[in-house]
Amino acid sequence: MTAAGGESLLDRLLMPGALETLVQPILSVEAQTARLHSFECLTRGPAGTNLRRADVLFDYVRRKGAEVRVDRACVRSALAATASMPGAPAIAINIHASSLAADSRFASFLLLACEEHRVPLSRLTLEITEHATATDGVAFLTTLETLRALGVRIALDDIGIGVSNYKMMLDVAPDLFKIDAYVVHGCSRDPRRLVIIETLLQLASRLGGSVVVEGVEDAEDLDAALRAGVTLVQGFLVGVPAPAADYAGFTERSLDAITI
Amino acid sequence: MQPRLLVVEDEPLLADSMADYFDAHGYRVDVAHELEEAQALVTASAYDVVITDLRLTPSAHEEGLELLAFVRQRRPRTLMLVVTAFPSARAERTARSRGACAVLHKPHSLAELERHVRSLLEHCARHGNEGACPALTAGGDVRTQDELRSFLLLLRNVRCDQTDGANAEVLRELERSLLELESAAPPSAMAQLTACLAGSAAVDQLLRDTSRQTTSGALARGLAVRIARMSIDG
Repeated sequence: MTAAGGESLLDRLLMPGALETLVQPILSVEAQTARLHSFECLTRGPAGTNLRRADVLFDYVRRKGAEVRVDRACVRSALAATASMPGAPAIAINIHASSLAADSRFASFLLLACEEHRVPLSRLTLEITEHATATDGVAFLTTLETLRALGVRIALDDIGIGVSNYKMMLDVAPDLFKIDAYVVHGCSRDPRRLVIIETLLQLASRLGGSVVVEGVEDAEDLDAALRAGVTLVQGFLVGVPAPAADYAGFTERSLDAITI
Repeated sequence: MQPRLLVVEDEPLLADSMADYFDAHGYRVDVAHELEEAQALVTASAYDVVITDLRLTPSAHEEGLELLAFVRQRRPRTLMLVVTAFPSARAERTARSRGACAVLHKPHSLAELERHVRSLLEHCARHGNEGACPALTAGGDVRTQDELRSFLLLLRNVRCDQTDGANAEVLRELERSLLELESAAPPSAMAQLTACLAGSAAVDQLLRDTSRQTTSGALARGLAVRIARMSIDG
Protein backbone atom coordinates (compact mmCIF):
# COMPACT_ATOMS: atom_id res chain seq x y z
CA MET A 1 0.00 0.00 0.00
CA THR A 2 1.98 2.94 -1.16
CA ALA A 3 1.46 6.62 -1.60
CA ALA A 4 3.07 8.94 -4.06
CA GLY A 5 6.54 8.68 -2.54
CA GLY A 6 6.60 4.87 -2.42
CA GLU A 7 5.95 4.71 1.32
CA SER A 8 2.51 4.43 2.91
CA LEU A 9 0.67 7.57 3.87
CA LEU A 10 0.82 6.52 7.50
CA ASP A 11 4.61 6.20 7.28
CA ARG A 12 4.83 9.71 5.86
CA LEU A 13 2.63 10.98 8.63
CA LEU A 14 4.91 9.58 11.29
CA MET A 15 8.12 11.00 9.85
CA PRO A 16 9.78 13.62 12.08
CA GLY A 17 8.46 17.08 11.23
CA ALA A 18 5.57 15.78 9.10
CA LEU A 19 2.91 17.07 11.46
CA GLU A 20 2.38 20.77 12.05
CA THR A 21 0.87 22.26 15.19
CA LEU A 22 -1.25 25.40 15.09
CA VAL A 23 -2.58 27.03 18.23
CA GLN A 24 -5.96 28.62 18.91
CA PRO A 25 -6.62 30.71 22.01
CA ILE A 26 -9.23 29.89 24.61
CA LEU A 27 -10.24 33.18 26.22
CA SER A 28 -11.61 33.93 29.65
CA VAL A 29 -14.16 36.72 29.38
CA GLU A 30 -14.80 39.25 32.08
CA ALA A 31 -16.77 42.40 31.29
CA GLN A 32 -15.55 43.43 27.83
CA THR A 33 -12.08 41.99 28.19
CA ALA A 34 -11.08 38.53 27.11
CA ARG A 35 -7.88 37.30 28.72
CA LEU A 36 -5.85 34.36 27.52
CA HIS A 37 -6.78 31.20 29.39
CA SER A 38 -4.82 28.70 27.30
CA PHE A 39 -3.99 27.64 23.77
CA GLU A 40 -5.45 24.51 22.20
CA CYS A 41 -2.90 22.76 20.00
CA LEU A 42 -4.40 21.70 16.65
CA THR A 43 -2.57 19.21 14.47
CA ARG A 44 -2.39 19.40 10.70
CA GLY A 45 -1.08 16.62 8.47
CA PRO A 46 1.66 16.94 5.86
CA ALA A 47 1.25 19.81 3.40
CA GLY A 48 0.13 18.71 -0.06
CA THR A 49 -1.73 15.63 1.22
CA ASN A 50 -5.38 14.98 1.98
CA LEU A 51 -4.37 14.73 5.62
CA ARG A 52 -3.78 18.46 5.86
CA ARG A 53 -7.45 18.62 6.89
CA ALA A 54 -7.80 17.66 10.54
CA ASP A 55 -11.11 15.81 10.06
CA VAL A 56 -9.65 13.67 7.25
CA LEU A 57 -6.39 13.18 9.15
CA PHE A 58 -7.96 11.75 12.30
CA ASP A 59 -10.63 9.76 10.49
CA TYR A 60 -7.81 8.14 8.48
CA VAL A 61 -5.76 7.51 11.62
CA ARG A 62 -8.69 5.83 13.37
CA ARG A 63 -9.43 3.65 10.32
CA LYS A 64 -5.77 2.60 10.34
CA GLY A 65 -5.99 1.85 14.06
CA ALA A 66 -2.95 4.09 14.53
CA GLU A 67 -4.26 6.39 17.28
CA VAL A 68 -1.50 5.52 19.77
CA ARG A 69 1.41 6.23 17.42
CA VAL A 70 -0.13 9.34 15.90
CA ASP A 71 -1.29 10.75 19.25
CA ARG A 72 2.26 10.45 20.57
CA ALA A 73 3.54 12.21 17.44
CA CYS A 74 0.93 14.97 17.93
CA VAL A 75 2.03 15.45 21.55
CA ARG A 76 5.70 15.76 20.49
CA SER A 77 4.77 18.24 17.75
CA ALA A 78 2.61 20.31 20.12
CA LEU A 79 5.28 20.48 22.81
CA ALA A 80 7.94 21.45 20.27
CA ALA A 81 5.72 24.20 18.86
CA THR A 82 4.69 25.75 22.16
CA ALA A 83 7.59 25.08 24.55
CA SER A 84 9.23 28.42 24.03
CA MET A 85 6.14 30.62 23.74
CA PRO A 86 6.67 33.84 25.71
CA GLY A 87 4.90 33.81 29.07
CA ALA A 88 4.74 29.99 29.10
CA PRO A 89 0.97 29.89 28.52
CA ALA A 90 -1.16 26.88 29.43
CA ILE A 91 -1.63 24.50 26.52
CA ALA A 92 -4.24 21.86 25.70
CA ILE A 93 -3.42 18.80 23.59
CA ASN A 94 -5.98 16.38 22.14
CA ILE A 95 -5.75 12.67 22.82
CA HIS A 96 -8.02 9.77 21.96
CA ALA A 97 -9.54 7.92 24.92
CA SER A 98 -8.62 4.74 23.05
CA SER A 99 -4.96 5.80 23.13
CA LEU A 100 -5.06 6.22 26.88
CA ALA A 101 -6.65 2.77 27.13
CA ALA A 102 -4.20 1.08 24.77
CA ASP A 103 -0.98 2.92 25.58
CA SER A 104 -0.09 1.75 29.08
CA ARG A 105 3.17 3.76 28.95
CA PHE A 106 1.53 7.04 27.91
CA ALA A 107 2.01 8.78 31.27
CA SER A 108 5.73 7.95 31.28
CA PHE A 109 6.00 9.02 27.65
CA LEU A 110 4.36 12.36 28.45
CA LEU A 111 6.59 12.92 31.45
CA LEU A 112 9.73 12.35 29.38
CA ALA A 113 8.47 14.40 26.42
CA CYS A 114 7.67 17.35 28.69
CA GLU A 115 11.05 17.02 30.36
CA GLU A 116 12.76 17.00 26.98
CA HIS A 117 10.96 20.20 25.90
CA ARG A 118 11.18 21.77 29.37
CA VAL A 119 7.42 22.14 29.61
CA PRO A 120 6.14 21.69 33.18
CA LEU A 121 3.19 19.32 33.38
CA SER A 122 1.27 22.04 35.21
CA ARG A 123 1.01 23.90 31.86
CA LEU A 124 -0.75 20.98 30.31
CA THR A 125 -4.37 20.03 29.76
CA LEU A 126 -5.21 16.83 27.88
CA GLU A 127 -8.43 17.06 25.89
CA ILE A 128 -10.03 13.63 25.79
CA THR A 129 -11.78 12.95 22.54
CA GLU A 130 -13.33 9.74 21.33
CA HIS A 131 -15.37 8.36 18.49
CA ALA A 132 -15.95 4.94 19.96
CA THR A 133 -16.12 3.74 23.52
CA ALA A 134 -12.67 2.92 24.92
CA THR A 135 -12.33 -0.83 24.74
CA ASP A 136 -10.41 -1.22 27.99
CA GLY A 137 -12.16 0.98 30.53
CA VAL A 138 -9.92 -0.07 33.42
CA ALA A 139 -6.69 0.77 31.58
CA PHE A 140 -8.20 4.09 30.46
CA LEU A 141 -9.08 5.09 34.04
CA THR A 142 -5.73 3.92 35.40
CA THR A 143 -3.81 6.08 32.90
CA LEU A 144 -6.12 9.00 33.65
CA GLU A 145 -5.46 8.71 37.40
CA THR A 146 -1.70 8.64 36.81
CA LEU A 147 -1.90 11.75 34.65
CA ARG A 148 -3.92 13.60 37.28
CA ALA A 149 -1.43 12.57 39.95
CA LEU A 150 1.29 14.12 37.79
CA GLY A 151 -0.61 17.43 37.76
CA VAL A 152 -2.11 17.28 34.26
CA ARG A 153 -5.57 18.83 33.90
CA ILE A 154 -8.22 16.99 31.94
CA ALA A 155 -10.82 18.34 29.52
CA LEU A 156 -13.65 16.40 27.92
CA ASP A 157 -13.94 17.38 24.26
CA ASP A 158 -16.86 17.27 21.83
CA ILE A 159 -19.58 17.41 24.50
CA GLY A 160 -22.96 17.28 22.81
CA ILE A 161 -21.93 14.91 20.03
CA GLY A 162 -20.40 11.45 19.75
CA VAL A 163 -19.62 9.51 22.88
CA SER A 164 -18.81 12.45 25.16
CA ASN A 165 -21.79 11.49 27.28
CA TYR A 166 -22.72 11.27 30.96
CA LYS A 167 -20.67 8.08 31.40
CA MET A 168 -17.58 9.87 30.11
CA MET A 169 -18.31 12.82 32.43
CA LEU A 170 -18.43 10.46 35.40
CA ASP A 171 -15.36 8.49 34.33
CA VAL A 172 -13.21 11.44 33.28
CA ALA A 173 -14.36 13.96 35.94
CA PRO A 174 -13.12 16.74 33.66
CA ASP A 175 -11.79 20.08 34.79
CA LEU A 176 -13.09 21.54 31.55
CA PHE A 177 -16.30 20.64 29.69
CA LYS A 178 -15.85 21.65 26.04
CA ILE A 179 -19.20 22.08 24.31
CA ASP A 180 -18.98 21.19 20.65
CA ALA A 181 -19.51 23.77 17.94
CA TYR A 182 -22.56 21.83 16.76
CA VAL A 183 -24.41 22.97 19.87
CA VAL A 184 -22.91 26.46 19.91
CA HIS A 185 -23.52 27.47 16.27
CA GLY A 186 -26.80 29.32 16.09
CA CYS A 187 -27.43 29.38 19.85
CA SER A 188 -28.53 33.02 19.57
CA ARG A 189 -31.35 32.02 17.20
CA ASP A 190 -32.25 28.59 18.55
CA PRO A 191 -33.52 28.60 22.15
CA ARG A 192 -33.04 24.82 22.33
CA ARG A 193 -29.29 25.17 21.85
CA LEU A 194 -29.17 27.78 24.57
CA VAL A 195 -31.07 25.46 26.94
CA ILE A 196 -28.40 22.80 26.39
CA ILE A 197 -25.60 25.29 27.07
CA GLU A 198 -27.33 26.54 30.24
CA THR A 199 -27.91 22.98 31.43
CA LEU A 200 -24.28 22.02 30.82
CA LEU A 201 -23.12 25.14 32.69
CA GLN A 202 -25.10 24.03 35.71
CA LEU A 203 -23.97 20.43 35.34
CA ALA A 204 -20.28 21.36 35.00
CA SER A 205 -20.45 23.70 37.96
CA ARG A 206 -22.03 21.07 40.21
CA LEU A 207 -19.50 18.48 39.05
CA GLY A 208 -16.63 20.84 39.85
CA GLY A 209 -15.62 21.89 36.33
CA SER A 210 -15.88 24.83 33.95
CA VAL A 211 -17.44 25.13 30.51
CA VAL A 212 -15.71 26.19 27.29
CA VAL A 213 -17.89 26.90 24.26
CA GLU A 214 -16.15 25.96 21.01
CA GLY A 215 -16.77 27.15 17.50
CA VAL A 216 -17.80 30.71 18.34
CA GLU A 217 -18.01 32.31 14.92
CA ASP A 218 -20.52 35.10 15.14
CA ALA A 219 -21.07 37.98 17.52
CA GLU A 220 -24.71 37.11 18.26
CA ASP A 221 -23.78 33.58 19.37
CA LEU A 222 -20.95 34.94 21.52
CA ASP A 223 -23.29 37.43 23.13
CA ALA A 224 -25.94 34.77 23.80
CA ALA A 225 -23.37 32.41 25.34
CA LEU A 226 -21.96 35.13 27.59
CA ARG A 227 -25.44 36.13 28.73
CA ALA A 228 -26.12 32.49 29.58
CA GLY A 229 -23.13 32.58 31.94
CA VAL A 230 -20.32 31.16 29.81
CA THR A 231 -16.93 32.66 30.62
CA LEU A 232 -14.53 30.55 28.50
CA VAL A 233 -14.81 30.88 24.73
CA GLN A 234 -12.97 29.60 21.68
CA GLY A 235 -13.59 30.08 17.99
CA PHE A 236 -12.69 31.93 14.83
CA LEU A 237 -14.43 35.08 16.07
CA VAL A 238 -12.06 35.48 19.03
CA GLY A 239 -8.92 33.85 17.65
CA VAL A 240 -8.08 31.84 14.55
CA PRO A 241 -5.76 28.81 14.53
CA ALA A 242 -2.27 30.01 13.65
CA PRO A 243 1.39 29.10 14.16
CA ALA A 244 2.50 29.68 17.75
CA ALA A 245 4.83 32.48 16.64
CA ASP A 246 1.81 34.52 15.51
CA TYR A 247 0.49 34.54 19.08
CA ALA A 248 3.81 35.40 20.74
CA GLY A 249 3.08 37.83 23.56
CA PHE A 250 -0.70 37.54 23.17
CA THR A 251 -2.40 38.00 26.53
CA GLU A 252 -5.79 39.59 26.01
CA ARG A 253 -8.25 40.98 23.51
CA SER A 254 -10.94 43.60 23.84
CA LEU A 255 -14.38 42.37 22.89
CA ASP A 256 -15.72 45.88 22.17
CA ALA A 257 -15.27 45.45 18.45
CA ILE A 258 -16.87 42.02 18.20
CA THR A 259 -19.75 41.84 20.66
CA ILE A 260 -23.13 43.43 20.05
CA MET B 1 -20.64 24.23 -10.63
CA GLN B 2 -17.63 21.93 -11.02
CA PRO B 3 -18.49 18.26 -10.43
CA ARG B 4 -16.57 16.83 -7.47
CA LEU B 5 -14.66 13.69 -8.34
CA LEU B 6 -12.67 11.30 -6.17
CA VAL B 7 -10.11 9.10 -7.93
CA VAL B 8 -9.01 6.11 -5.85
CA GLU B 9 -5.97 4.47 -7.42
CA ASP B 10 -2.90 2.98 -5.75
CA GLU B 11 -0.65 3.52 -8.76
CA PRO B 12 0.59 7.11 -8.29
CA LEU B 13 1.40 7.87 -11.92
CA LEU B 14 -1.96 6.61 -13.14
CA ALA B 15 -3.76 8.47 -10.37
CA ASP B 16 -1.98 11.69 -11.26
CA SER B 17 -2.70 11.37 -14.96
CA MET B 18 -6.39 10.74 -14.26
CA ALA B 19 -6.49 13.72 -11.90
CA ASP B 20 -4.79 15.98 -14.45
CA TYR B 21 -7.12 14.86 -17.24
CA PHE B 22 -10.31 15.39 -15.27
CA ASP B 23 -9.01 18.64 -13.84
CA ALA B 24 -8.40 19.88 -17.39
CA HIS B 25 -11.98 18.90 -18.26
CA GLY B 26 -13.55 21.03 -15.56
CA TYR B 27 -13.80 18.63 -12.62
CA ARG B 28 -12.71 19.32 -9.06
CA VAL B 29 -10.59 16.28 -8.32
CA ASP B 30 -9.25 14.65 -5.15
CA VAL B 31 -7.01 11.61 -5.26
CA ALA B 32 -6.69 8.85 -2.67
CA HIS B 33 -4.22 5.99 -2.84
CA GLU B 34 -5.54 3.85 0.01
CA LEU B 35 -8.90 2.49 1.07
CA GLU B 36 -8.83 4.22 4.46
CA GLU B 37 -7.81 7.52 2.91
CA ALA B 38 -10.71 7.29 0.47
CA GLN B 39 -13.12 6.42 3.28
CA ALA B 40 -11.96 9.42 5.31
CA LEU B 41 -12.43 11.71 2.30
CA VAL B 42 -15.89 10.34 1.52
CA THR B 43 -16.87 10.85 5.15
CA ALA B 44 -15.68 14.45 5.06
CA SER B 45 -16.93 15.49 1.60
CA ALA B 46 -19.84 14.76 -0.71
CA TYR B 47 -18.49 13.70 -4.12
CA ASP B 48 -20.59 13.55 -7.25
CA VAL B 49 -18.54 10.67 -8.61
CA VAL B 50 -16.07 8.15 -7.18
CA ILE B 51 -13.83 6.21 -9.58
CA THR B 52 -12.04 3.38 -7.84
CA ASP B 53 -9.55 0.74 -8.84
CA LEU B 54 -10.69 -2.73 -7.83
CA ARG B 55 -7.38 -3.58 -6.14
CA LEU B 56 -5.69 -0.94 -4.02
CA THR B 57 -2.80 -3.02 -2.72
CA PRO B 58 -0.33 -5.45 -4.30
CA SER B 59 -2.33 -8.30 -2.74
CA ALA B 60 -5.33 -9.91 -4.45
CA HIS B 61 -7.76 -8.19 -2.07
CA GLU B 62 -10.46 -6.21 -3.81
CA GLU B 63 -10.58 -3.15 -1.60
CA GLY B 64 -12.53 -1.31 -4.29
CA LEU B 65 -15.54 -3.50 -3.53
CA GLU B 66 -15.29 -2.56 0.13
CA LEU B 67 -15.19 1.08 -0.84
CA LEU B 68 -18.30 0.70 -3.02
CA ALA B 69 -20.29 -0.66 -0.07
CA PHE B 70 -18.98 2.14 2.13
CA VAL B 71 -19.87 4.89 -0.33
CA ARG B 72 -23.30 3.37 -1.03
CA GLN B 73 -24.07 3.43 2.69
CA ARG B 74 -22.62 6.87 3.49
CA ARG B 75 -23.29 8.76 0.28
CA PRO B 76 -26.14 7.07 -1.60
CA ARG B 77 -26.29 9.87 -4.16
CA THR B 78 -22.67 9.48 -5.23
CA LEU B 79 -22.14 7.76 -8.58
CA MET B 80 -19.48 5.07 -8.66
CA LEU B 81 -17.34 3.56 -11.40
CA VAL B 82 -14.82 0.75 -11.11
CA VAL B 83 -11.68 0.30 -13.18
CA THR B 84 -9.67 -2.90 -13.03
CA ALA B 85 -6.81 -4.75 -14.65
CA PHE B 86 -8.16 -7.99 -13.15
CA PRO B 87 -11.69 -8.33 -14.50
CA SER B 88 -13.88 -11.22 -13.39
CA ALA B 89 -17.58 -11.89 -13.77
CA ARG B 90 -17.87 -12.39 -10.01
CA ALA B 91 -16.23 -9.06 -9.13
CA GLU B 92 -18.28 -7.28 -11.77
CA ARG B 93 -21.52 -8.74 -10.39
CA THR B 94 -20.56 -7.74 -6.86
CA ALA B 95 -19.56 -4.26 -7.98
CA ARG B 96 -22.89 -3.76 -9.72
CA SER B 97 -24.85 -5.10 -6.78
CA ARG B 98 -23.03 -2.54 -4.62
CA GLY B 99 -24.10 0.28 -6.87
CA ALA B 100 -21.30 0.61 -9.43
CA CYS B 101 -22.66 2.17 -12.61
CA ALA B 102 -19.92 0.72 -14.80
CA VAL B 103 -16.90 -1.54 -14.61
CA LEU B 104 -14.17 -0.61 -17.08
CA HIS B 105 -11.26 -2.84 -17.93
CA LYS B 106 -7.72 -1.48 -18.01
CA PRO B 107 -6.24 -0.32 -20.20
CA HIS B 108 -8.89 2.18 -21.12
CA SER B 109 -8.51 5.65 -22.51
CA LEU B 110 -9.00 8.62 -20.24
CA ALA B 111 -11.31 10.08 -22.87
CA GLU B 112 -13.51 6.98 -22.67
CA LEU B 113 -13.60 7.19 -18.88
CA GLU B 114 -14.45 10.88 -18.96
CA ARG B 115 -17.26 10.20 -21.47
CA HIS B 116 -18.75 7.66 -19.06
CA VAL B 117 -18.57 10.08 -16.16
CA ARG B 118 -20.02 12.95 -18.19
CA SER B 119 -22.88 10.82 -19.45
CA LEU B 120 -23.70 9.70 -15.91
CA LEU B 121 -23.69 13.25 -14.63
CA GLU B 122 -25.82 14.49 -17.51
CA HIS B 123 -28.33 11.74 -16.91
CA CYS B 124 -28.50 12.60 -13.23
CA ALA B 125 -28.96 16.26 -14.00
CA ARG B 126 -32.02 15.31 -16.05
CA HIS B 127 -33.51 12.56 -13.92
CA GLY B 128 -31.88 12.56 -10.50
CA ASN B 129 -29.57 9.69 -9.70
CA GLU B 130 -31.85 7.22 -7.93
CA GLY B 131 -31.62 4.05 -9.95
CA ALA B 132 -29.82 5.87 -12.70
CA CYS B 133 -26.97 3.49 -13.27
CA PRO B 134 -28.49 0.62 -15.25
CA ALA B 135 -30.68 2.94 -17.29
CA LEU B 136 -27.74 5.07 -18.27
CA THR B 137 -25.54 2.43 -19.73
CA ALA B 138 -28.42 0.38 -21.04
CA GLY B 139 -29.44 2.76 -23.75
CA GLY B 140 -33.05 2.82 -24.85
CA ASP B 141 -35.48 5.70 -24.93
CA VAL B 142 -36.43 7.98 -22.09
CA ARG B 143 -39.51 5.91 -21.29
CA THR B 144 -37.40 2.78 -20.90
CA GLN B 145 -34.92 4.60 -18.72
CA ASP B 146 -37.66 5.96 -16.50
CA GLU B 147 -39.22 2.51 -16.27
CA LEU B 148 -35.90 0.94 -15.28
CA ARG B 149 -35.36 3.57 -12.66
CA SER B 150 -38.81 3.12 -11.24
CA PHE B 151 -38.41 -0.68 -11.22
CA LEU B 152 -35.23 -0.48 -9.17
CA LEU B 153 -36.70 2.04 -6.78
CA LEU B 154 -39.70 -0.19 -6.24
CA LEU B 155 -37.46 -3.20 -5.67
CA ARG B 156 -35.67 -1.38 -2.89
CA ASN B 157 -39.01 -0.85 -1.19
CA VAL B 158 -39.78 -4.53 -0.71
CA ARG B 159 -38.81 -4.94 2.90
CA CYS B 160 -39.51 -7.55 5.50
CA ASP B 161 -40.36 -4.90 8.05
CA GLN B 162 -43.35 -3.77 6.04
CA THR B 163 -46.83 -5.21 6.34
CA ASP B 164 -47.97 -7.87 3.92
CA GLY B 165 -50.45 -5.45 2.36
CA ALA B 166 -47.83 -2.75 1.78
CA ASN B 167 -45.39 -5.24 0.25
CA ALA B 168 -48.14 -6.69 -1.92
CA GLU B 169 -48.87 -3.22 -3.33
CA VAL B 170 -45.21 -2.64 -4.13
CA LEU B 171 -44.89 -6.11 -5.68
CA ARG B 172 -47.95 -5.60 -7.92
CA GLU B 173 -46.44 -2.34 -9.11
CA LEU B 174 -43.13 -4.12 -9.67
CA GLU B 175 -44.88 -6.74 -11.78
CA ARG B 176 -46.59 -4.06 -13.89
CA SER B 177 -43.22 -2.32 -14.29
CA LEU B 178 -41.49 -5.55 -15.35
CA LEU B 179 -44.21 -6.32 -17.91
CA GLU B 180 -43.78 -2.84 -19.31
CA LEU B 181 -40.03 -3.31 -19.55
CA GLU B 182 -40.27 -6.72 -21.20
CA SER B 183 -42.55 -5.35 -23.86
CA ALA B 184 -40.71 -2.10 -24.53
CA ALA B 185 -37.08 -2.18 -23.47
CA PRO B 186 -34.32 -3.10 -25.93
CA PRO B 187 -32.31 -6.28 -25.22
CA SER B 188 -29.32 -4.22 -24.08
CA ALA B 189 -31.41 -2.57 -21.39
CA MET B 190 -32.75 -5.90 -20.18
CA ALA B 191 -29.20 -7.31 -20.09
CA GLN B 192 -28.13 -4.38 -17.95
CA LEU B 193 -31.08 -4.89 -15.66
CA THR B 194 -30.28 -8.58 -15.29
CA ALA B 195 -26.68 -7.81 -14.40
CA CYS B 196 -27.83 -5.26 -11.90
CA LEU B 197 -30.29 -7.66 -10.28
CA ALA B 198 -27.76 -10.46 -9.91
CA GLY B 199 -26.61 -10.55 -6.33
CA SER B 200 -28.55 -7.45 -5.27
CA ALA B 201 -29.70 -7.29 -1.67
CA ALA B 202 -33.20 -6.32 -2.79
CA VAL B 203 -33.51 -9.42 -4.95
CA ASP B 204 -32.20 -11.59 -2.11
CA GLN B 205 -34.94 -10.13 0.05
CA LEU B 206 -37.50 -10.84 -2.62
CA LEU B 207 -36.38 -14.46 -2.88
CA ARG B 208 -36.64 -14.86 0.88
CA ASP B 209 -40.20 -13.50 0.69
CA THR B 210 -41.23 -16.25 -1.73
CA SER B 211 -41.48 -18.79 1.11
CA ARG B 212 -44.04 -16.72 2.99
CA GLN B 213 -47.61 -17.96 2.79
CA THR B 214 -49.01 -14.50 2.27
CA THR B 215 -50.30 -12.41 -0.58
CA SER B 216 -46.95 -10.71 -0.94
CA GLY B 217 -45.22 -14.11 -0.76
CA ALA B 218 -47.29 -15.38 -3.69
CA LEU B 219 -46.61 -12.22 -5.69
CA ALA B 220 -42.92 -12.43 -4.84
CA ARG B 221 -42.82 -16.04 -6.08
CA GLY B 222 -44.15 -14.96 -9.47
CA LEU B 223 -41.72 -12.09 -9.72
CA ALA B 224 -38.76 -14.19 -8.59
CA VAL B 225 -39.48 -16.70 -11.35
CA ARG B 226 -39.52 -13.92 -13.94
CA ILE B 227 -36.28 -12.47 -12.65
CA ALA B 228 -34.66 -15.92 -12.60
CA ARG B 229 -35.79 -16.48 -16.20
CA MET B 230 -34.32 -13.13 -17.20
CA SER B 231 -30.97 -14.19 -15.69
CA ILE B 232 -31.00 -17.47 -17.63
CA ASP B 233 -32.05 -15.81 -20.88
CA GLY B 234 -29.49 -13.03 -20.32
